[in-house]
Amino acid sequence: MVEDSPSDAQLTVEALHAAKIANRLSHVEDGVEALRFLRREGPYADAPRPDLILLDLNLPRKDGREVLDELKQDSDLKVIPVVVLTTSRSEHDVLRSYQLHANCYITKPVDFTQFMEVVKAIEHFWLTVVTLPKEK
Amino acid sequence: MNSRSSNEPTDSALAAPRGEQGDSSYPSVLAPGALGRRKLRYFTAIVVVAAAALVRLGFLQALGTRATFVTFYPAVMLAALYGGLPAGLLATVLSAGLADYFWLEPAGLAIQDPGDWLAIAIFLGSGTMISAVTEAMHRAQARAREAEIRAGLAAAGRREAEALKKAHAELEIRVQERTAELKRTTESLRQSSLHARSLIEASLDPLVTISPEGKITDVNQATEQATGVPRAEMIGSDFSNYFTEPDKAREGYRRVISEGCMRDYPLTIRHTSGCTMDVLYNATVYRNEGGQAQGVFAAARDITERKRAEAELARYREHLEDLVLQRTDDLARSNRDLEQFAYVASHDLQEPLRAVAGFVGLLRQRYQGKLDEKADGYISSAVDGVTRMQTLIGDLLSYSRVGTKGIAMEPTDTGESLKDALTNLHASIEESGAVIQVDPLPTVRADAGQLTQLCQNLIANAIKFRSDKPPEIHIGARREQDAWLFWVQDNGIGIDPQYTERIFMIFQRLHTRQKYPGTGIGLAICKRIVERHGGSIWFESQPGWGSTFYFTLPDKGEPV
Repeated sequence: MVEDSPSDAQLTVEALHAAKIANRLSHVEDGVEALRFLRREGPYADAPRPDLILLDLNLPRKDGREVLDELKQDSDLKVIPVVVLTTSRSEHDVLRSYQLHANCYITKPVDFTQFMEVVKAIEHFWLTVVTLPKEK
Repeated sequence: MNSRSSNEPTDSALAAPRGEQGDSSYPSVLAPGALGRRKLRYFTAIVVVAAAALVRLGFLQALGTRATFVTFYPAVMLAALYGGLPAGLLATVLSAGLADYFWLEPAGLAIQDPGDWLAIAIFLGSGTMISAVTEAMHRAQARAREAEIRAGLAAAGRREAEALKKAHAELEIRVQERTAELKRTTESLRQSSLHARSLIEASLDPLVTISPEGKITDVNQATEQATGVPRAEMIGSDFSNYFTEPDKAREGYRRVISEGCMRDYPLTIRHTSGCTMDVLYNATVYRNEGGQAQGVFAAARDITERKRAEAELARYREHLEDLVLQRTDDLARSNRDLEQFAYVASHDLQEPLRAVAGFVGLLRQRYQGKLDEKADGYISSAVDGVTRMQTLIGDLLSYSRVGTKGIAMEPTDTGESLKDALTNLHASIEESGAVIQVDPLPTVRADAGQLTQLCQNLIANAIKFRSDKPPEIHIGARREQDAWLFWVQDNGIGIDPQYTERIFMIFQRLHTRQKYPGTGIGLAICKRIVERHGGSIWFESQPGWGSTFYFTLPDKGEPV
């Protein structure tokens, strides 16, 4: 999960716990760290390769849109599904994200209950319903 | 030609009598012509002599040869009386001859007796004397007559002279009278001429008269001042010399000549010093009594001040327009800033709100029932509060989006927009059992999405604020001048008219949240949408009798 808001991050964690789905959640707070993590650079040399990326768009240092772009141009990393999870409901952002090959775009619900439901739904869909590529 | 011999009384009375020998003394009735008269004289002499001879013959018996010449004396007298000296002489000679021939012994012309010679000689002498005397008498008479005539003429002449003198005197008087009158008239004419001239000179407008050949014939002082040229110099010169655009001046002159008059023709007078004066010319053709054009009379109106005022006005107007543009810009910018602020504020508040709501919610999940009742209460209230805050902010966002996110106006089928709204409200329509009647609705230039929102809010209100009866909602529209008027009529609880202004304000509510949910943003959004379209919104209602909301959407009647 690439998320700069600590409260949103924590809520997401809570939601995932409540879903009782076995998974491992890694959290970075900005775009630069996100890419380093995914490329297993520096302190992230032993980082696991994620099956799913939850990406916020409005991030410090490197914007989520840039991260998305770079990810999807990286031949190795582009196969990992990216779920854009952001406060923005701007049509421009939606279009742009899909143009940059985001796998799906979700606007964070204002209501926290709904937020929890959405997180659970994401997880259920992507990690249970969907078939993910196996790492080589 | 014998005009002299005519004896018309008038001629003879005035013409100086000529004293022509014998002519004028003869009775007019027997004087046809000079020669004629002469012949007639002699003829008369012969005749009377012959008559005398006959008469003597008649007395032959009584007288024998005595008083031979007795009858011939009257004859001679008569002849002389009538014919003057020549006729008398002829008569004398003839008489002597006849007497001698017929009555003196011997018969025939010879004379023997010396006494007879004496008799004849005496007779001849007497005859001649008689003739001469008669002639003299004639002459004297003639002279007397002449004198008379002359006197008469003189008298007449004197009379006439008198009359003439009198007439003269009268004429003299009349002439004096006329002269006096003339003087008076001339004087008053002079006065009025002076008066007229003084007016012309007093005029502040430059006046000028121009001959049919285009030369100045007269100017007033004001013209001298305007051009800096003395009057004497200007007279006779070409009038177009004194303007900055002589061609334009000449053109104006031509127009006056052809049209008879001209108003407000703009020209610029040039002063010798170089200064110019902007003027407007009023000119006319002036004519004599016979209607013939005598020239052009032109008056100039100084518009320098006016032009300056106009220039200033134009400057101020430009300045004003600039100011207005600036203000409009400022206002637009301020609006944008405000909207952006509202948007950003609302948007950025979402996250912390979510945090609060989230953690309080988690609290409730995890610890509900595990803490005391009060704690449960606190947590519930906190959750409520946060939820409300989220709704308010959401509403504020919607409100601000009316201005920022609105799309350009396009022809929109308002009926379709309404249908969308009804679809969105389908749940609450069914739940309330609302009956909705929709009249045919027009197509108007509008933002379809906002129109849907507008209808949705109004209908949602109509359903929400219903009375005991199932809601009956009637929606319609009619054409007004330059706009469409829409209405949404319900049979709900109605609105007290004193809240006319209030209900359209943000977050203003007329009821408690317990009775009727909602933040009070619905109508504020409606108002904003309607006003963005250039229309207006209001309602008519009585508490307990339902409400009708009206709004207008301008439509200039362009073909849609």
